[in-house]
Amino acid sequence: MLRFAARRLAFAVVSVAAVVFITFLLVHAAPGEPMLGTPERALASPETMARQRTLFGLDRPLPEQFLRYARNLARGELGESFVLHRPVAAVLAEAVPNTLLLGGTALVASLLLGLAIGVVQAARHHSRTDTLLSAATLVLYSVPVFWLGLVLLLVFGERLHWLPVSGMTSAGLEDRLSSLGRAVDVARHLVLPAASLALVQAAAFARFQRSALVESLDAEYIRAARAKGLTERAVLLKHALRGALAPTLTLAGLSVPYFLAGSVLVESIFGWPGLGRVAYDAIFARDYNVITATALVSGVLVAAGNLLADVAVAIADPRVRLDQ
Amino acid sequence: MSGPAPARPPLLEVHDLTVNFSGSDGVARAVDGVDLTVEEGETVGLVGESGCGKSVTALAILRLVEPPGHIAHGSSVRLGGRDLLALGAKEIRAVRGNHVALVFQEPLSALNPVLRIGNQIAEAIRAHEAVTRGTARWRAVEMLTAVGIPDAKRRASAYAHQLSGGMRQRVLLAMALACRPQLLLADEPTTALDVTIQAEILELLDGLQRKLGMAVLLITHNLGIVAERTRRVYVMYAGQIVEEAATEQLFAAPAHPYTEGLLAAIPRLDERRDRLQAIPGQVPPATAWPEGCRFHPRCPHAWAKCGTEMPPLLEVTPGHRARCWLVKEPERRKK
Amino acid sequence: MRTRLALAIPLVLAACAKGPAGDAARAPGGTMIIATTGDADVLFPPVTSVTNGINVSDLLFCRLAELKLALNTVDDAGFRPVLARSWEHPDSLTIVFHLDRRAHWQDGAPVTAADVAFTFGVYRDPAVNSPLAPFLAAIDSVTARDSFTVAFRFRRWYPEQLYDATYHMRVLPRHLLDTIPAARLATAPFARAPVGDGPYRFVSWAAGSEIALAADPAWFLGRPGLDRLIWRVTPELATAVSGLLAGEADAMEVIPARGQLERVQQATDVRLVPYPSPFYAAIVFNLRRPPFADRDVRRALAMAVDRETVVRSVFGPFAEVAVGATSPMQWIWSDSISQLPFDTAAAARLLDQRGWRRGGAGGLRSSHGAPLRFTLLVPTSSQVRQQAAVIVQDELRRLGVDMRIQPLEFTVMERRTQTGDFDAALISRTIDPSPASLLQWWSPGAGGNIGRYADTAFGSLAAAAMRARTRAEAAPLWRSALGRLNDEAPAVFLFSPRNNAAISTRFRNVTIRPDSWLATVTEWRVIEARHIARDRGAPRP
Repeated sequence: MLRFAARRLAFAVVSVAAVVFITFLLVHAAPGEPMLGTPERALASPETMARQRTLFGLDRPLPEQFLRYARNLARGELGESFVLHRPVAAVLAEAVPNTLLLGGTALVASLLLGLAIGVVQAARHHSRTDTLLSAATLVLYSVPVFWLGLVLLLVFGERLHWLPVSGMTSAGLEDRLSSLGRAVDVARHLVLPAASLALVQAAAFARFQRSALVESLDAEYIRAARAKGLTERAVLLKHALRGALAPTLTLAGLSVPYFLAGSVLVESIFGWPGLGRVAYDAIFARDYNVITATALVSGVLVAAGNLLADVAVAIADPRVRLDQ
Repeated sequence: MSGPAPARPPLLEVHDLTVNFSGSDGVARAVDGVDLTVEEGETVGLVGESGCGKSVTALAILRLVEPPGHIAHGSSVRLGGRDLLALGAKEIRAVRGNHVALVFQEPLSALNPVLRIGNQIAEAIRAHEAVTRGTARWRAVEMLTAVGIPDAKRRASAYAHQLSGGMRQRVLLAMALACRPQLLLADEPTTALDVTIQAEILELLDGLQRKLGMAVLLITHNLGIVAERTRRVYVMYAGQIVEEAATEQLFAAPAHPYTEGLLAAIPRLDERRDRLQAIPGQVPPATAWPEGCRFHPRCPHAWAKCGTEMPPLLEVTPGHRARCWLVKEPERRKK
Repeated sequence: MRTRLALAIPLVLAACAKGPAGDAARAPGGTMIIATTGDADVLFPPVTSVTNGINVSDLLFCRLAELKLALNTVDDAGFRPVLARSWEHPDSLTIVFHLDRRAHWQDGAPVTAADVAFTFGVYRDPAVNSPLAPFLAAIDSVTARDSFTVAFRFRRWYPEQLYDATYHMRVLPRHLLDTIPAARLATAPFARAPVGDGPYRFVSWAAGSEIALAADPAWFLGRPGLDRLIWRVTPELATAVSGLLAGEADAMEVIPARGQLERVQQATDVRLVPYPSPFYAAIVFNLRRPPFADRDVRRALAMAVDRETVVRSVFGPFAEVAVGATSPMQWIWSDSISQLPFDTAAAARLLDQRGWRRGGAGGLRSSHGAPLRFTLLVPTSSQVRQQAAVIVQDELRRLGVDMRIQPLEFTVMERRTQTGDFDAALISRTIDPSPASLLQWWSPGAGGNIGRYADTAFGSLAAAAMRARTRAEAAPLWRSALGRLNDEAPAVFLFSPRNNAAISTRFRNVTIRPDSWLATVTEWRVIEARHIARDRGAPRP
């Protein structure tokens, strides 16, 4: 088990390093260059920009730039943002927790919702409920996240006024709220963006879980459980679900990239100050150090997602745990 | 071997049990009008090749046949006089595992791979008795000890794949017997095991049966196994009972050519040959039972009538019946 | 953030103790939440470059003097005193400012002449690399004569000396910055939590999310009308408008899309406040490349574009046809500037004369076998420019000109135009109140002159305009220069969008200075009857 874990960890480290290397190459190979101003104000003169390039060492040959970057990275330094004039680590330190909150909530919510739908469908497979839910999840699965977000925003935010449309907090009211009040306030702001991210993926989980469950309901041990006089509920939740959980948990681990990619859109729509926004702005401004660092963090999150899924699968399924 | 008629109704009385499977290629009548009885404390054999419907019969007794299979109208399964087919969902659950338990053929697939075995036994107890988790766990360990598992307390927290085949079958027995059922349906309980362990398990089963005083319906393809353990035997072919008799009678004077074939196939120590070598051909699929006697395409004695008219169960001697025209026209038997 | 708040509260207390207490008690207060699509970059005026960063730091740091609403950049009368109580011109190369002794930093220190001199040094320091440094090239030195008197010495005489001395720089607190190496100033903690001398003090900044400022009740020019200003970053425009309509936000600087403008027009609690924008859009030709080196070809293309149709179909009522390389924000804007007419017949004749005759496939014009064909670069970030490009393409095709549209990401297009790797580009220019910015884009050798346009007649007209002593003298000269530019057609000047701020009807006394929309925000008030929860949520003293 220890050797297995060490091997997985080593693999993760190598993958993340590869991601960083490739990202570094790609951003430098991409046309355009940093600090050419923003669409609103193209203030900087060519002389100013040339000086800026020298300051950041962008006029050096690429291999040299990469070696310097790698050396700094090995020391734990991510460099400085060209646009924001601050350490990249500080930028990420503010954004990553917000993205973890949004993405984590969405992941857990979609997993729970997907499992619930999948269980209901499997419990009555080939019934009308099952067919209806299958159609519903198929439609939901093919909905673009961006569109779903805008619809939720218009309906529940602007029209019905049930939930706030943007940001993480209610501007101008924070000082008057208790800490519980603030938590509730953040939770209210979290609902729409998390739902936009979660619903589509919940549909995927539901479809996956349904087929895994239906398959596992065919197993002899399910018949054995029924023969013991267990209730259908116990048969389904205790016997069938447990064994059918592994593929969905693995899928959940693999879905981390989806949540990261989705967060770029959702964070934009709902003004959620997270990693997706940072990455989007950085790519637009060719803020190389920030782009590479967001790739690094994303790589780590993806690897962590897979590792976490492996652990969860091992918890759910002793065969995996004990065979290693 | 017919004793006096019992004063009480038999423990299990199956009458005209028919199970249909509706599929894309028509309806398959997997079990077709089966009658059988098991008295209290009695061991009865149900013998046939795989695919003959004996496992489905066992499942049907506990109403565990899953769609697309369903038990046909007019079937009846009585346990101590109570019609199991008329019970509500909750009432039949109270029977399963409690009054009637089932032991499956493949211990590895019948045990949930992701749950500890002690837990799987305890949950059977808790499904029927209002006991605490702790008590149920303690009883599970006790059951494991009873089926001869050493160091039962530690083994209770093992998973199925950590045990040997024989151990698993013992666990299955413990699970089935946890609530001290009146009737055990043992479906090929030893087929998956090697010969020495088979004997151990069967011995264990015998011992437990005596201790608990329960009845056993021993379902198997192997007549050798039923020979010493059962009082009566039913032979099943293509969904039907084709012969029933006291065990001694059946072995001494089988009336149905199929039974003869089965007897010829019992492995002996002095020779090696394949199972059922004596009976040419295969069991037909349930969607296409032959016209007339279902065994006639494989029967060495068959004549025209066999292909058109299905024989009823004909009495050979009292308590010995066979579904074969030879009972009426023994002269047609070829030498 | 908590530590910042904790630090801010004693400062508020200290300020209140000094300020006119009675006035503070009567002040109506209120909170304005401003939805913005972009966060600030950094709050250090010499390097702040994005719109929202400029908007915020403008309220934290004062200039010596401010332009009045008319944005007259030439005459002294166009300015009102801020940090400088008064100023004089002892000779043609010197301006002497007398500082307002009431002005103080938010930590209590007075604003002094040394601060002004220090500020000039920072803006000009190559290690700081301020993009504003080129605008200060004409200033030779800034010296403190005494604590409250500072002299600006110019290299040469020109009418807009006062404008250059006051407009580009915001005075910085020397006592808080002089120990920091120049190269580290932009990354110092100060740049993300500054201490200023303006009407508002810094409270908090959650990156990508929110910046909060609170009124300085002791500001030397009088307590601002609104207690708090909070910028909320809402990257998606449609969401920002939804927030505005749902009452989560009170104001937006500009709503740049027609569809969103129409949503606001239908709302009852939000109104649009139109004001001239500092932008114009133009198709710039690359004169290095063959067909565009020919002045007549450029003129023909310009005459073939029906700009009125382009503007109305893209913007509806929300933009003006550009009269030239200017916007209505500049005082030189006038309908009297001479422009090429929309005349397709004349355009066709001109091309025929220059040898570009019809006859190719699809009625395309060609000369010596080469078709009249070019590629127009358009940034993907601008929907309006992409729409405009399609209409122009259609109009040119009717003339027999094959214009291909190549949408490019903004930075990529910038790179191509900067290096001259393009035929034509649909660019947008942000201009200063001063017409001198014309030279930044259209004089030979200027960094913004991407098409390499060079014309001595335009140059001498502009030079004469730059020397005119008064606005009245300068205006006709500038307009002639613009007319000359139109006539030479180094570009087709398409449109200047009309900006529309969206502001909740809770606010009164709203005026907008086009170059800096919150320049007069100290005068804005919340109608008292329409106070809502967040107006009462102001920090308690």
